[in-house]
Amino acid sequence: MHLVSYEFGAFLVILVALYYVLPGRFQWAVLLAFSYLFYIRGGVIYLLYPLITTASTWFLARAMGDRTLRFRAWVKEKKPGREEKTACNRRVKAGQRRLLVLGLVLNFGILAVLKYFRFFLETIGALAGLGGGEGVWAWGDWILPLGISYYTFQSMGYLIDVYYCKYEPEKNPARFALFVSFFPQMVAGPISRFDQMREELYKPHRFQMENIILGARRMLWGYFKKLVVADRLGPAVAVIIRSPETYDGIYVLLGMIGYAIWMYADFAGGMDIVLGTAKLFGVLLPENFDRPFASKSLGEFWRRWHMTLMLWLREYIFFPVSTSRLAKRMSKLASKVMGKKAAGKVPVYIATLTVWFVAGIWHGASWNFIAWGLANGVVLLVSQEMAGGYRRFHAIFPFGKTRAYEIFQVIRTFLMFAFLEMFEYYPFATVFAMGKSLLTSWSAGQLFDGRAEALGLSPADLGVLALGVALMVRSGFRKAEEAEEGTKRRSFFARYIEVFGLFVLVVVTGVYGRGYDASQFIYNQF
Amino acid sequence: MEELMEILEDMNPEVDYETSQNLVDDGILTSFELVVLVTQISDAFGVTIPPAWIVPENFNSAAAIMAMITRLEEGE
Repeated sequence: MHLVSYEFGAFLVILVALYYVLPGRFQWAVLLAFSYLFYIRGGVIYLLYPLITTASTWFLARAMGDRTLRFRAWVKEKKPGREEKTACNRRVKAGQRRLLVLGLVLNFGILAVLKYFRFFLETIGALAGLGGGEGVWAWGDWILPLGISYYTFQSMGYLIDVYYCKYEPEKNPARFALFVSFFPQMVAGPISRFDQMREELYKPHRFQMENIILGARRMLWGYFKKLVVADRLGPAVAVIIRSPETYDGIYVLLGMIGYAIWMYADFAGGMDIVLGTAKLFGVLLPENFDRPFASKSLGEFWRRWHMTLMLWLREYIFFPVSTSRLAKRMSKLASKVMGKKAAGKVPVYIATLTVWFVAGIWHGASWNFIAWGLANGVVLLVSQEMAGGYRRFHAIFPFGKTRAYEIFQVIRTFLMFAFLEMFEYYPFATVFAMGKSLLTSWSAGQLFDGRAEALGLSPADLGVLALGVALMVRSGFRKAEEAEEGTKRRSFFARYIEVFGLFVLVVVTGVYGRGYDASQFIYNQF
Repeated sequence: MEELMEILEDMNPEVDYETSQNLVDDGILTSFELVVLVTQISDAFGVTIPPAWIVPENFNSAAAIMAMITRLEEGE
């Protein structure tokens, strides 16, 4: 079932009615039942994988939690000395580590086989010189359940948190199943933490008209970004980026900017629909975007774009890798060559490149995504190395705090993000060729040489796009909570007008059936 | 505490570590700097900081960092 379909609308109406009619203690169970219903509309087989992840994660987390409880009870009863307690704690932790590793290997193993097996075969085949045309490695293709990367990461985050005793594991397997499978977020995130969601998902929610209005408003903004901007812009951008030999010069810049806006409208629009849907049930999901295009550096940008994935990578990969024994050993080895201070940064380098390798391959099983990830990692490390120099420069020339310089930083960050996205859609060598083409052979006249017409955008489309982007820019510099507060302050009548106006805007200006599957979101495929 | 202040000031001399209470939340200590700091604290104080301890509450101020080091030294 897709988020852009009549079926989804009917599904929501029935669920909202049932949810608020039933007593509060049954609400989470209804959400679970409907979440599974939502999921199996794509085929019953799809449910098998989330069920394996749910069952294995719940069981292993419980087993870990039981060991902690037994240890605490033993300490309370026996009151052991420090050495005895430490020795016992080590044994408990070793046992828990085995359970954690089992869970990680099983669940990331499923993800690896389903998502990356063909890529792995193709790479091995290419290295071995086997070659092979289209379809040779097709037997490495598996049915890929929707949102597998999202729910796997979310579940493994839970398992690691329980291992580190950040919170108690959930006792009820059905409640835990809802945490893994809550339908709005299962397909494209946000990737949540259990301690954030426990209260939200399981507590009874009273019917409040405000939640319905705010939820509907947020959803409609999402549909606006998706149907009016992303789906109108997407096909035109696709023409540019799929034909680099035709669309060079200034079209490289148009492709870069268009692709960045398309990605944002599609993904942030999808998130608005997801967060708005959850709001209908009174459930607050974590935000995934915090006005990323207002960022003044790439590092800041990645703290504000797809925030829940970035937090996950920071917490479960960046910190553990950078403090690992291997990273420390490498740092010690490096200190013999480059001195202690410089070698102290080696763990950061290893962890950053690991994080961005994972971020790349998380987005897709291809070398394009890996190149995109590593390119981001390298730019971030170079920026970090230059931070001291920047500070000294701005101490001497204090124009760094002027408004003009801030605007320059925002534009620079946007262009850097858009440039790095080129690694996603062009082959590696083509990125540099197109970069060169942009810098050396562009002119405004290229816009009128007939190539623009083949993009399929009429003057009316361009007008609507300009309006859509202007509205997105306006709302993009305002926090989501501030926008909600604005709606809450309006009168009852004005709120309805706002929601109805948005609905009409989406219906009138949305793109439907242009040989383009409007129901698909780019980020669903991850 | 002096040793810790030296490490912090060496990282960014412009920050007033005596008074700052939101080093992580305000983005003064980024993820990169946190890791460099963790490595330097481990070397200087002979403690191992588990990844799960790298949270804003433990790094938002010099006092919080020192309290964390003390807890680690006591073998908590």
